[in-house]
Order: sequence, then C-alpha cells, then structure tokens
Amino acid sequence: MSPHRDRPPTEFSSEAVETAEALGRNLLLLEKTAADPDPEVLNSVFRQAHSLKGLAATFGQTRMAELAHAAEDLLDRIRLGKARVTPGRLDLLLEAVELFQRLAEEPSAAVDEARSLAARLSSVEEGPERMGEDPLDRLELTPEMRRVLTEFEEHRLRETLRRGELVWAARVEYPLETFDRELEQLKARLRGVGELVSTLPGAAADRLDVLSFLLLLGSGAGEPALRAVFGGVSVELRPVPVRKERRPDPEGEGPRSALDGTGPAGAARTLRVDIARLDALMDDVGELRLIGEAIRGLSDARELSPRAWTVELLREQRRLVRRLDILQDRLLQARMVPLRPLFDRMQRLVRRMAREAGKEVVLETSGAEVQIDKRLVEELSDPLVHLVRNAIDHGIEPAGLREGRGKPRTGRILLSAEQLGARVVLALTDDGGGVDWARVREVAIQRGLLDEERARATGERELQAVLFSPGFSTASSVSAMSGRGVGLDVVKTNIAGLSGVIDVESRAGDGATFRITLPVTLATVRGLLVGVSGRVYAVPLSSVLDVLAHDGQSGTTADGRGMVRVRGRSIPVVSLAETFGLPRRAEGGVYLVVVGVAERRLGLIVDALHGQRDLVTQALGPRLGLVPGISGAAEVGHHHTVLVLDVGVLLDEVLRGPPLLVAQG
Amino acid sequence: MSQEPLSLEALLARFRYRADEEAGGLGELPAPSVEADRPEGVDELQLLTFGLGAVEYGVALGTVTEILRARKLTEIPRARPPLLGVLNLRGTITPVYDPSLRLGLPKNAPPCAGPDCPPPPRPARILVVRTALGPAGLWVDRVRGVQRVRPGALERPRSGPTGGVVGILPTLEGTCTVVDPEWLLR
Repeated sequence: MSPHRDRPPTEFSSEAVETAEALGRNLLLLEKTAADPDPEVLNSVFRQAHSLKGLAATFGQTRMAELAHAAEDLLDRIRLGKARVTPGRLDLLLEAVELFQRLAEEPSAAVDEARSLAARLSSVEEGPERMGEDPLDRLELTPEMRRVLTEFEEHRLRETLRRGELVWAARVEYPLETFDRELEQLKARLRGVGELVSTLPGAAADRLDVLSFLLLLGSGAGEPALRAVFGGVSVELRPVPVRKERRPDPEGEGPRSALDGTGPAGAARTLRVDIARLDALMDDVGELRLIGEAIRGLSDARELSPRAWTVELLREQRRLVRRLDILQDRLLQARMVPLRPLFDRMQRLVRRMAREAGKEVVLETSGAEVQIDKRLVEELSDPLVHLVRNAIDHGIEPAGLREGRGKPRTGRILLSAEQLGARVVLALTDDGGGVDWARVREVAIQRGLLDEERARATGERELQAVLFSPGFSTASSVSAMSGRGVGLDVVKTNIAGLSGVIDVESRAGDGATFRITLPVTLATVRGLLVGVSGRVYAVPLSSVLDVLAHDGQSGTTADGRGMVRVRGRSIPVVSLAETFGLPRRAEGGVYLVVVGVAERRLGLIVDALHGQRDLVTQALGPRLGLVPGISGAAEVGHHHTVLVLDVGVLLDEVLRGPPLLVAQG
Repeated sequence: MSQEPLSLEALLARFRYRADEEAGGLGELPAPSVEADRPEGVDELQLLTFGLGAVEYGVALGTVTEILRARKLTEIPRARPPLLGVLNLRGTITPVYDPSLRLGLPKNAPPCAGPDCPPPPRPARILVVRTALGPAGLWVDRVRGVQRVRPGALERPRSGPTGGVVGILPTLEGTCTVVDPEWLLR
C-alpha cells in the first residue's frame, strides 16, 4: 500500500480541524445576534480565520490558505463595520468551515469548490462607505495613541461616539503576575456598563513588578458607575474630550492574536490527551517495570524452596495482571472524547440542509459533554448525518403544512446523548409527521420484501426490520440530499459494526425518535466465544445475561417456539445451529446462553463455550452489507476470524419470524 | 520437524511448488505500472490468467491488487452462492466469491469455509480485486501468469455468457476468456 503523497502532517490536520470547528461554533453564535453582533465573538471568529490562514500557509496548503484569506477578509470587513452580518454571508462562511475540514484531511479534495467559494467570499460587496467625516478625528487623542490603535479599536471608538456615548481614558496599574486576569475581570465587570476598547501598556511605573495601563473605555454611564467597576484599585479616570476640527488619519495596525476562548475539540485522526492522563500511564509503566524487576529477582532467589518460589511467582503474576488491567482502563479513558464537535457539525448541517429543503428547522442538543471512544465518534458521523437528513427530508413538514396541523412553523429536532452505565444512548427526535407505516407496508410489498398477507399481519414494531433493510427507501422524490442510494440499512449496518443497536419509535403525526445505543468504548468489546457445530461465534458480553448447562428439554408454546424457564421466567429458546442452518454434529455439551436487549430475552442453544475474549470488532464492509444476525467480525489468534453475533437482530428474528433477507453475492 | 523419513520429492515440495513459481512475485506487485513497462507505440494489455477447472480465464492485471494462497475462510451463516466466506485481510473483512457460477461452469470451488472443509488444494489462489464496494476475493483453481497482449488480439465471444466477457484470447492450448471482475461479482 502506498502512502498518500498529498497528505499533510497530522498535527496540521488536527489543528486545522479544531480551529475550523471553533470557527463554525462561533459563526453559529454570531447568527443568533446578527443584528447587534457581540464584538468579542466577531473578534474571535476573525482571529480563528486568521490563524487558519497562517496555519495553512505554514504547511504549504495554498488552497486552504487562499480560502481562509477570503473568509478572513470578509470577517474583517464585518468586524470593522464595513459589512453587515447577513444570512447569505453566514452561509458562505459556514460553507467555508465545511471546506476547511475537508481540505484539512484531504488537500486535493474539493479544489474547484474551494476556488469558487473563495471567489464568492471575495465578491461580497462593501457596505456603505464611511461618512465623509470621521468622528474619530475629533476625539482628543494624542497622535502617538492614534498610531497604536488597531483598525478594530478605531471602529469600536467610532461606534461609541455614534451611539452618543463618551470615550474615557483610564490609567491603572496592575501587578505583573496578575495583570491579564485583572483585565479579564475588568472586562467582565464592565458588561452592561461599557466596553473596554483598548488596553495600551504604558511605560510609566518606576517599579519593575507593576505594569501601567492606559485603557480606553466606551460608556454611556457616568463616572461613579465606571469607578465602581474598577473596585478598590486606584484609577485616574477622565473623559476624552471631543474637538471641533479634524486630524489626519493615522495608519491602522494588523490584528493581534490573543484570546481564542474556545475549548478543546477535534475530530481528526489525532487525539489530544490530557497530560495528567499520560502521567498516570507513565506511573503504570513504572509499576510494571518494578514487577519486571521482582520477577528477575526471583530467578536468582536460590534460597527459596520450590513451593515458596511458586507462591512468590504467582503473587508477582497477580500484581502484573492487576496493573495491566489498570493500564488498559487508563488507555481506554485516554481515547474518550466529548461528543460536542460531532454535535456542532450536525448543527451546521441542519442549518444548511433545512435551507436547501426550504424548511424551517432548528436543532437542539443536549448531552454534548458525554464522552465516548474517539473511533466511535468518527464512525458515528455518517449514520447521524443520514438520520438528520432523513428527519429534514421526510420527517419535518413544510412550514405551511405544519401550521395547518397546528404545529409551530419551525420544525424542531432534538439530538441528545446520555450515558447509561457502559452504554451511551443517542436519540434523534423530530416533531415531524412520524413514520408512515402504511406507506412502509406498501413499499415493502412493491419491493418484494414482504408478501401482501404477511405485510397486513405485521405490526409497527415488526415493520421496523423492513425499514432498516437494504433497498428500502420511502423517498418518493429524489432530492439532492437524500435518494443517493443509501438507506437506513446502511445506518443500521454501520451501527451494528460498532456493536450498537438502532430502533425507531414513531408517534403518528407527532414525529419520530431514532435511538442508537452504543458501548461507551469500542477499543475492545468483551465477547463470549461459543461453539456451534464446530464453528465459533462471539456474543458481546454486554448482552449476555446468563449461561446455563441445558438439559435439552424445553417446552413449546402455542406457535411451536421452544420455551424454557430460567430463574422463574419463561423465555424463548432457539438452537443457533438451526437458526443458521448449520449441520448438526453430535459433539460437545449443550449450553444455554441467555441474551437480552432491553426487556426482551432469548436463550441461544450452543454446544461449546470457549471462554471470554477482548475483541476488536470490524464491520463486514459495504459489499456484504447487512448480514442478518451478524454485526461484524473479530480476529482471535492467528488468522482465525470469528463472527460477532448481532443479538438485537437475532431477538427480532426469533420473536418476529425469519429474516427478510439473506447475505448473498 | 517431522520424524518420518521423507522422500526427496516430498521434501522439495515443501520448499518449492511449481504453480508458485509460475505466479512468482505477483504478490509483491500491488500496483503494476502498465505505463512504464509498455513498449513504445504499442497499446498493450496485461492480463492475469488463471484456471477454473479445465477452462482458462484472464482479467486485466491492474484490477488485481493481491494474490493470496487459498486459505480456510470464515463462513457466513446462511450465505448463498457465490459467496464462499470472508477472510481478514490486514484488518479489512474481505468477502470471497466463487466465480464459476457466474461463468456458467459447474460448481467449482471445493467447500473452503467451516470446520468440515479439507485444506484448500495447493494450487488454489484467491485473487483480491479492487471494486467500488471495497476489496473482494475471487477463488480460482490456479494462477497461470501474466500475459501481454495487443487489444487487437482479442476476439469477440461467440457463445456463452457475454455480459462481462471482454474478449477471447486464442492460446496454444485453446482459448482464454478475458472477463471483467466487477461483472463477476455482480
């Protein structure tokens, strides 16, 4: 396999993706306050575009640098009050965010798109020219001060004057160690009173451990209110007088980069790990070394009796295993990342897709702080995109229709995550029309997935299986967004590949909820290896409730299904060999593996137990697609691949009837 | 290794195998550069030729990414022919198919998945081909080698399945049917 020639270094990719994500988040924040944008948000958006440009240029990613430059340019104009925030412009900027992320991972992707978007960004026309006279020129500022003001600061001062407020100059001194915190706090206390426009460090104090600042504040409040903001600190405060005549324009200065107040995020191939977690890992390694030493020492311990020696060796072995368990736990912890970047991406997606579909939709999220394995986040993206698309295309009704049905015009999608023990439940709820089960039946008959008689007999829960089967799509219109030949079956396959389960709950006329249940961590899934007719399958231990020796006796229910009583409860049983159509072999014992998902239980009859293993599961891949009863494969030992059972599907199958489709070439 | 005395023949067979030599080095040719090898001015086609039963077939060499010695596959429950099973190719689950069915031949590949199957015959190979849906394996009885032909040398098929047949190449022993691997897998 040849490596990608064009792939930029990973540190570039991850940082670019993170910056782009933060940029996207702030743009959405900006959208909410489009009429009177918060200068701080505007600034950090601008800085993020700026640092993206710098980053791209450093790594020779010219396409991204050009695009970032165009975005930065537009943002600069917005920031300086030369252009306004409009939905159209935000669209362009958000589009750029998407492209940044794609370019960060694959620089040769979307070349034309990047070029055309950069052109569109640059062609956003200038807002109305500034008035002939610059109000700033009448402000009594020394030429030295004017020279050090940035263009942005000048803009904010102009805004202050335009609002009819006063510009105040304040001279304060802060200790060298704490000045940045003091300034931040000052800024916070100023909220609602005024605005901190500029902080010019002055060369004043005769003391080395103190910095003197000349602050420029814009405020409509009086002097007492401003003094109060400074708290106990002694401050020289005076309003800057406004003159009659003008002064010549000084030169503006490029922006400085300082605060980019966005938390860590990231969805690229690299992972940022808290240094404390790495330290803990190092400690574990140190501990392991000690055990290694102890074992080496044992090899020299000739004075020990063989018995004592064995005891010692076993003790060290236990210490080793215990420490390895801790190490594994810590490594799994280190792989955990919050869902927030993924949720943010959905946020942008909803915005764009709703616009494209001509619908009004808002996405609300909860539980973005829930952490799951990094790889799960990556693999969850496609299925979620699909479900969101589905909700907007087929779920949420057009605004007119919604009003007719007595719903608010704007459709609402709720994306939530919640951790329940070792599982995470992600739910996507829309308040649209819900799943049209009659139509599902109709299509299922058309596509030959069900015959008419069976279709009539099946209830809603049974029809779910149809909804998630390959080749099924109720999309009557093929839009740019859906109808790409992928259906819910792909979603289901992807989720199953992550050892997850998906189901849907629909409230006719009231919306639908797609619920994805996933293990918190993917790195390894603990599986019980069972033998059936000489084959070996893995059952995810998370769904194994009980393992019993089975006497081969079972009762039957009215419909001919085997039943057995386990711990006072009647549960259906099925022979895995029979279900999979495997030849019977007269070997091994008979065991009953009781599996369960939610409230449903099933006993699987197997003929051997091969113990538990940590499994790294792999999806079966797009060519095989959905294989009923199998969620993926895992390698156990050299060249030996076992299939992992999809307990959810097996339950469906036994409790609802034979599978609708069978794997084929 | 083994205590039993072995004949020289058997000993040699452990080290050398004729079909291996015929297919020599192909495993290490993941991406043959047709461009570089092409004699000037002549449009050449490089074919990988293989046998199914008594019949010879060929596919464009560029579509084959790897040739594996046939091995036991993991059986997919309730799979229908032509799917034989899957193998784990350096972390990618790769389905393996029996091309005979598609080519209208009697069922060719011996059972090669599940606990009851014998070890695969030594000449058998799995051709890993690149497809739009990821890698897929084709189970063949033996690999012949690489043949360079001029496209003009291919004749139109006269009978039999024609859908995916690119052309017929007359050979010393008879003919070699050149097929499109994507079609074999359809």
